[in-house]
Amino acid sequence: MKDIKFVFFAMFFLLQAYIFADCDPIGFLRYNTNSAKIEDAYDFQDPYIIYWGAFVKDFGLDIYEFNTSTVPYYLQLYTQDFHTQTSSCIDQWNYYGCLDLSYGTTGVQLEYSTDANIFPTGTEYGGTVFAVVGSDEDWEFTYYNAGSPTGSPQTMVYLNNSQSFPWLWSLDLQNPGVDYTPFKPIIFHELGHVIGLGHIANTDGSYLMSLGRTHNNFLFSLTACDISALQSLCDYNGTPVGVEDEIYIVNGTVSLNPGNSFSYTAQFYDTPPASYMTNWY
Amino acid sequence: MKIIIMILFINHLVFSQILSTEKKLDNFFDDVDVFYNVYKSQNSTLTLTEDQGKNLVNQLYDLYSFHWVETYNYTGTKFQEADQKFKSSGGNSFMAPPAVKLRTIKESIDKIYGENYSELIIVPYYFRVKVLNIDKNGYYKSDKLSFKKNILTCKIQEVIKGSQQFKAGEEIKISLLNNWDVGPFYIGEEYFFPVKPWNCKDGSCTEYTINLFNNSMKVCDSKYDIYPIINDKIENIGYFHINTSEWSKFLNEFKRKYLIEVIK
Repeated sequence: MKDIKFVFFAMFFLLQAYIFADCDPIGFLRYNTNSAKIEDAYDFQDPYIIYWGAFVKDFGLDIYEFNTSTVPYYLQLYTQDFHTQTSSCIDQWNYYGCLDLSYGTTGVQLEYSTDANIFPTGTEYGGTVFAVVGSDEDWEFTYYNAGSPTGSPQTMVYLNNSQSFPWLWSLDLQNPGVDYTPFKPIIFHELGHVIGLGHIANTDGSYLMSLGRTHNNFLFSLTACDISALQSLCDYNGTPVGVEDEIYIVNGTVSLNPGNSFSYTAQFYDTPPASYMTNWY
Repeated sequence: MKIIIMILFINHLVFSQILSTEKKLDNFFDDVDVFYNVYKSQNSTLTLTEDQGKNLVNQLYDLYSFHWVETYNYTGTKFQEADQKFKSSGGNSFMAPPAVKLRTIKESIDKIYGENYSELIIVPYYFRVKVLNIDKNGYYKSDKLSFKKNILTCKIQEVIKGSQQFKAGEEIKISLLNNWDVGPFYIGEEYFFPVKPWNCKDGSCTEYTINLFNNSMKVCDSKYDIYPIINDKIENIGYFHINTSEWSKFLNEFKRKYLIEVIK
């Protein structure tokens, strides 16, 4: 009987910790039309928050298996580990998220780049670039679009294997020492961007999606705040659960009643307390 | 006949200069190898004596200030050699890339001379510039990826470092990729620009960019500081560890701390 009580207590404690976790502002991604780039946004009402379109939301997000022909020379005997670790990250994002990520032979590409010109200082671990389609305030990520206004024709994660990178890459599953950068936390973080998360506005590196990280102090799994951010993103951009309020057309004055079957495409906001943004077809 | 002698003489000068740079690079990276081996043998720690530090600082400063492209090419070649050697040996011959070794040396130098010192002395050019124009229509193509690029046309108001190559009053074009998240910059405004060669491929660099600094370890899409000069005051100078933002005083202190007379 004592054991049962303890289990209940432990579960309650974990639940409390999750609900009251002191998360810094949660970052989503926004498309800055002035500079044609993707950047962090912390305002739920930001009309330029960008996400995957209806097709990906309905049918899932394809991740192309890691391009192991690009891995650093000293890790080329361990290519299977890159797949295993990438799959593990995808599993964790899937477990807590609302996009169905699948690891296969099409979709968002993941690889190392040796081009030192694309890394601003040489010490960056990696980055994610997005191809974008749409217009006005209805921009979407897409796998590939040659005319993407961001300049990048495809959505892709690239890790730094340039001559300027000052650490060795490692496949260890714990912090491997000051001379190394472990692969898993970096691909984990970048996949968070692929899903649609920006940085959590925190520079001490407490969260996988933090803005900054202290070297050799990486995280290998999601924290409560990462999960909270992911679930906010799902609430915000996921499948609507119902429309209980009036809906207002953005930049317009027309209001519609719930359930109206207008064959009209526009961007709508629900009014609080259920805040989400979606497309209306 | 005079012309032939002149050509031979110039060839000799150029050739001896190249040899001299190669020799300097070999010497420096031999030293780096020695200290890196000590670092590895001491469980990833290295403490330099003042003389060792000074010697390494002088070499580092000379190579990156006056032979930046050659040094970049040299480390690129060594990086490729390490790759080839590892593959040809079936994975039995491992050499760390030069940048990895160099990091350990720079960290040890900074223990003696102060935080960020080595990053600041290896920047080949420092200018005070005025932005004349911003062209947002450029692209940089990298294998599968393509990045939008801004090109800032700037008038050099003052050459703080790099007078062997640039003069005040000249124009310089500075390229920046959009996704680096640098800026914003405004036409007509003045800035303090650390500058380095950029777009380096096949042995030559065809453009210049701002030498950005990491205040902390960052992923690729984080914000980098820039240094506007407004009413003769420079902003965001935390990285330089200089206490005054008044331009003339900042400049004096900057020169005192980060410019070195190198015996060539």
